[in-house]
Amino acid sequence: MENRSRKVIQRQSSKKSEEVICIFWLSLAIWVCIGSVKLNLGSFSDPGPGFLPFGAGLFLAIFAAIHFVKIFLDQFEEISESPWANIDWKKVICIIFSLFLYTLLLSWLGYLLATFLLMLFFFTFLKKMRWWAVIIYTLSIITISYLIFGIWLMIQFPKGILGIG
Amino acid sequence: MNIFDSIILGLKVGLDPINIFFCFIGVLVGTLIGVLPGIGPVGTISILLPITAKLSPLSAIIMLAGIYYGCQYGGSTTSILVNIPGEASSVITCLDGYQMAKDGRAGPALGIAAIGSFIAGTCGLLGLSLLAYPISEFALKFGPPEYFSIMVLAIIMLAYLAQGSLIKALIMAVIGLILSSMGMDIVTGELRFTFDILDLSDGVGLVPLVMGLFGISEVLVNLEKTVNKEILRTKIKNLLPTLQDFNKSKFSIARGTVIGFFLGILPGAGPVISTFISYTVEKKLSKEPEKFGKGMIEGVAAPESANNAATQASFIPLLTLGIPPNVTMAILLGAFMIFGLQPGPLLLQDHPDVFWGVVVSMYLGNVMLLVLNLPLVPLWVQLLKIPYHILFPLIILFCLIGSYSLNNSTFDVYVMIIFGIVGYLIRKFRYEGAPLIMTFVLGPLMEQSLRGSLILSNGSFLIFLTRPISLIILIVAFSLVFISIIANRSMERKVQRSKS
Repeated sequence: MENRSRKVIQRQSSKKSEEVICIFWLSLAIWVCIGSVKLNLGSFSDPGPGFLPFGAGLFLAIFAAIHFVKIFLDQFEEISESPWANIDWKKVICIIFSLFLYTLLLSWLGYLLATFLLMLFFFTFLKKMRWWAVIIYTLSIITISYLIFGIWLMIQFPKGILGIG
Repeated sequence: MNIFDSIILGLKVGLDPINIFFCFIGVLVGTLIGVLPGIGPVGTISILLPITAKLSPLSAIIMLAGIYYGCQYGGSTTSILVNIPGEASSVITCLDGYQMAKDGRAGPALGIAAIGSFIAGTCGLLGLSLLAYPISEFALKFGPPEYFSIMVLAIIMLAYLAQGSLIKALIMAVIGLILSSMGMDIVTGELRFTFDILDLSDGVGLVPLVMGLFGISEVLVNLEKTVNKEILRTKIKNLLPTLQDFNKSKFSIARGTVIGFFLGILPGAGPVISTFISYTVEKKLSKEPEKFGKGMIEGVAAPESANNAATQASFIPLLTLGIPPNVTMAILLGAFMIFGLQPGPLLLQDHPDVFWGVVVSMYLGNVMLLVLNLPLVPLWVQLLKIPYHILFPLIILFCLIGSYSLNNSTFDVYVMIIFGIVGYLIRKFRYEGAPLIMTFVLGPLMEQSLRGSLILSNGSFLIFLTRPISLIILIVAFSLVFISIIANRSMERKVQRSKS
């Protein structure tokens, strides 16, 4: 009984999520269509720059509407669990935030320093390791990556405050 | 230039030491990522794409192609020894391969997988060599309407064969088309959907998009789960199958090769579907179908042959028509374009050295893979012991370097991170990234063909129906949609009946 009611709650939750995403697609479709009209659709014999995006927006609206109707009629695919179940939000947000921060600081700190800090964080993030192992892994990766990409393949990394790159 | 002159040219170019070196690097990396679960050829090729810009176009394409067919070999090792498929195309090999390993027959399972892969890969290449000229010559008759129809077919096939819902796959395909239209218009030069951001005037880059959708999102998804990698503690001996094993497998290898080859040419089908079909065929034809899943060597030989034949055959539509049949080929098409080469019927005429150089390198790569995969199996098994908390920072670092090095700009890195989040979310809602990438790559060509066709016909969409080749292709495409709708309806009715 409890199992059944859990399943009903799960289905309702995934149905709601699907509805929200459908509304997002529909809004996106409308935005693309309006943007395409502003770009100039041209004519059938001489299509303008907005012609293809308008068609794509129109198809997106049609597909999203079909999907919405399917959800409304309860004909959408059974999702065994809610899309938000089993998510370790802390891990996901930490990774995304660290990547944004890395990109933001890359030019100022330079490749070597910024990557050193990022790798240090990553190696201690999932599993606690001995500090000397973390330092060895981090330094080896930075050295090897710099030799391969910076020296051999001549990628111009940002030099940053260290002035090396 | 006849086929023999072409092959001699290919030998001359393909056997150049530098190209042999990059072919080796490609198949080595391919085997490595095939062995390691959690990173596939799509992610790897996109990660390495910006780095290859420093190489000659031929060496780069040889290496990237080597990664694609190399990973099909490596995928079977983890399926057999760990019961975790390194690649989606090796899922079915787990069924009988792991059982054979548990019975102490890991050696023959690995051996027949490598031998079957080699035979099928070589046959696939022979097919590619023989069909290249006739298909290219036929494709020269194609105009914009035919190209547009083929692209519609490719997208519909990919959506039709998507693992989840057809409508979700179609939504993804349209999103890819919208993304591809960002940037400068190909005809008027007008800027579209750039939000006044100068970096977007060339549109969204393929590399940050693919790295985000397949690399970063893969890491985010993998962080949620812990994969139990229990490596079978068995001695791998007698890698060469016995004569009895070979006799049992020879027809399975032949059937797997034929099925894989034809499904590989079809857009959307590719190596994964061919393994499932060849396994089913073997089970149906077997005198002991009940033993399948319990360690039948035929259950390893057929799918492993099929995925390799399909991999080689999937180069046919890419190289001769310029149409990628799957998402990896779509990225490879992007690589060709980055190097200023346009795959298609004119590639054979204008750049026979590139075409035949790649083909010859693939023959060579297959031999290298046989050597890499048989005696070096214990080494690959050791690689599986690399824990994910060591592996994931490396994957992320490669993605960061790859996207930055494109234009030495952090803008591409931001784009990659954003698409990483998008990729993660769409996976959560069971949307697939493959149709999006496919239309993103084909988008500009599709727009060009559509606008060209409409200008040609003075605005009449009937041009797609009045030209016979285009009409046939469109009939096939829309029949697939129709079949899919009918199949879904009957499935829903069955489910409702069983519920009531």
